[in-house]
Amino acid sequence: MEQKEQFYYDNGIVRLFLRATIFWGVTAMTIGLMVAFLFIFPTYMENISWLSFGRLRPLHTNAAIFAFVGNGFMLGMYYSTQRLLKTRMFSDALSRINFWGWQLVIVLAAITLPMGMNSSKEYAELEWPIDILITLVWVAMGANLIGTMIKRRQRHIYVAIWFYISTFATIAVLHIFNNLELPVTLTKSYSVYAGVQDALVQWWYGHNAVAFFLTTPMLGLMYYFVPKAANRPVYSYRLSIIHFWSLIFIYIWAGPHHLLYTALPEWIQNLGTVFSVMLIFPSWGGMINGLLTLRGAWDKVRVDPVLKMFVVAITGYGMATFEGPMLAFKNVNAIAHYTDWIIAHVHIGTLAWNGFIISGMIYWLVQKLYKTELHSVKMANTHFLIGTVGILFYSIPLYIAGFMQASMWKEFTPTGTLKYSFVDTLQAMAPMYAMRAFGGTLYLTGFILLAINVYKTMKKGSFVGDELAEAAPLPVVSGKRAANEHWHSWLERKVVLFTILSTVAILIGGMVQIVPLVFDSSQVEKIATVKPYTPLELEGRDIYIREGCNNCHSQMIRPFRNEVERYGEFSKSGEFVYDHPFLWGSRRTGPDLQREGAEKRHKDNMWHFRHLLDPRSIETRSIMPSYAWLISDDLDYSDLEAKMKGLRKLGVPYTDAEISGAKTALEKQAAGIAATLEADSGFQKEFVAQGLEVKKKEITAVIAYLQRLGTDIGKSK
Amino acid sequence: MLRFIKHNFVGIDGATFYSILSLFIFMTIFIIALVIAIKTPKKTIDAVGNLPLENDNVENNNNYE
Repeated sequence: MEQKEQFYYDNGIVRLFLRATIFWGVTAMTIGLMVAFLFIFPTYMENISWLSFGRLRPLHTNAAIFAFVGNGFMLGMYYSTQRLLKTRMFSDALSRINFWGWQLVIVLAAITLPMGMNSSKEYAELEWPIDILITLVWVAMGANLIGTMIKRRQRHIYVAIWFYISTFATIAVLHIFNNLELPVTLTKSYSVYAGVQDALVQWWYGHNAVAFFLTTPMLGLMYYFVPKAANRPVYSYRLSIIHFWSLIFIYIWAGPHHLLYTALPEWIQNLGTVFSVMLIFPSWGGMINGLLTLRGAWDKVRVDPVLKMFVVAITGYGMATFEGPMLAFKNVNAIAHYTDWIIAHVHIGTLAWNGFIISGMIYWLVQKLYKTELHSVKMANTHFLIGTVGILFYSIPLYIAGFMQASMWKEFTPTGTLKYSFVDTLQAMAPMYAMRAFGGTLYLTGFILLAINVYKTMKKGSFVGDELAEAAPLPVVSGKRAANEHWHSWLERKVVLFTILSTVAILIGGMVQIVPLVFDSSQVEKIATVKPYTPLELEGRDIYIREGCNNCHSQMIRPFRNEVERYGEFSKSGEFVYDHPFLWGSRRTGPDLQREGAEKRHKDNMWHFRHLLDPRSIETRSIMPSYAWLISDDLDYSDLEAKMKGLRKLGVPYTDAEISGAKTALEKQAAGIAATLEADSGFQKEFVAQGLEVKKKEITAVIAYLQRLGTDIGKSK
Repeated sequence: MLRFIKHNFVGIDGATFYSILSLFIFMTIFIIALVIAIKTPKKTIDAVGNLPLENDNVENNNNYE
């Protein structure tokens, strides 16, 4: 027997992440609740630009994903990695850089997103300087993880760590490729991709952020903490090997199911569907593996809040991963896309799967870290109960809402006209939105109970920052495979090679789908009449992005009878070739805007002015925020030339003359819009007499952009 | 109605090629994973599967385990 070495586990870093997870969990859910209440009381935060829905919604999603789940993953990862590898983390400094860097990113997000600094791409809204910071912090985490694996005292690498490694490698690739953007100023950039390509890259990212930020890290936690809490090994370790490789490989192909029936080439859509359906097998393999780990421990499940939460979490994972493949069928997707069904689906994932696996883990961990028992098991059981009821109250009404929306949107009268106006369908959702907010309130209350319980447990226990442990050092062996060594064991030993291979596995899918679309120009049809935006329209589009209009309004009309009837000619891929970034959106809380300026949808400038100032003055049932600040704030177009030059670098054909004359052209177009408004005597009395110089205001740019939308295609007729 | 989108998928050389290639790559990966899982000796599987359950520390004050 070899001499054992003594060393210390770093519990300090675990405690830091523990506190951060709870703090950001409460924050993210509170912001979620704030936006949920906007659906019922649309005016309760009116006229505070930084609290409008379009700016808060990205803050909520980013906080829930990266702040709450992100810190939760790192919490479990730092605890389990050290113990599974029988060593302290590779570098305390890197651990701290990881922690404080990540918190800095979150704080910067919390400041910049409400200020309207965003790139519009869902779950990747942060602007380029923060993107760079994220990359650095992420690499610090990865280096620390790989370094720890290299200095380990345990020959075998447990499956949880494979999931951590694939999380690190894949998120790095996704983050970098989706955020390739051309900076114009410190707070503004344009995606290097346009239109269809941008959409594909974005949803390759968006889908796989769900896969590799909300799933694989949680599976890693499941494979460690479920056996730990149940005190029995995972049901089938063999199954976990198959689970890992097939899951990470298949997941990466499924992204295009976010773009079914859009202008994306159909072969990519079909590939996305096929792989999405296949995804159910590894997902359920993992779910079954997790649940069966508890076989023979069901007596414990009845009383232990940790195990209860794990059971609901894994069941939630099973539900969400059954639903995902179903939603990827084109006929189901035709119903669900753009509706609240999707919101329900993702919240099963975040509230049940992520939220409960993290909560269960926290209850278990705080006892270990503080060497004491939980302050109140009863309180934890109450958390479990109201959290579970909260999930049901959150999701069931939204499932119903999804079906109602889809069927009301699609319903025609016998004479062939649409039966319901958009706002009719919105009004019908009001009770569902109220129940959703109630469910969210329950869930948040449960999580606050966790915070109190953990705090009290910390108070009564004693924290050991550096925990003594011992293990024999790993004997030095040749890098080559030993005679009787199985080659997967050998592969596990070669940490860096293992990382590279799992990265290659995920890259293949992305390559096959994205490369032909980006490099094969025949993939996107050319439409001769589609021209770049005018300077004023461009500024208007940037305000549209700033205000996050794409969070509620899609710009992608699918080729369905009801959509064509409601919104006009369906969208063509060639219409988006100058859209850096694309603004197709993913949810229709409001109507589609792709043809807002064209025949069927066209309204005059005065309508837009009054509607943006007070949507309820036009439609009393509207829940859209008022954008009064667009009327009080002057349009800042000092960066106009830099923006146009930047876009030209990305392939938008602005001429030198257009760029040098941009400001003049902008002022001229703004004056034209102002003139149409000022021609109205009511406008004269109400605004001009009060000293409003509308041609200088942001609203002219937004009106110009909205009036341009969807008009290019009409010119070809 | 699909006239504007149609040529996107009839026009591309190898649309079928990509689909078949991806299924082929996946099957290969899956079979390799399956073989690994089946061929790994039971002793190793048991040892690795039990890793999370090993004693975490040597501290005397940790009686809660």
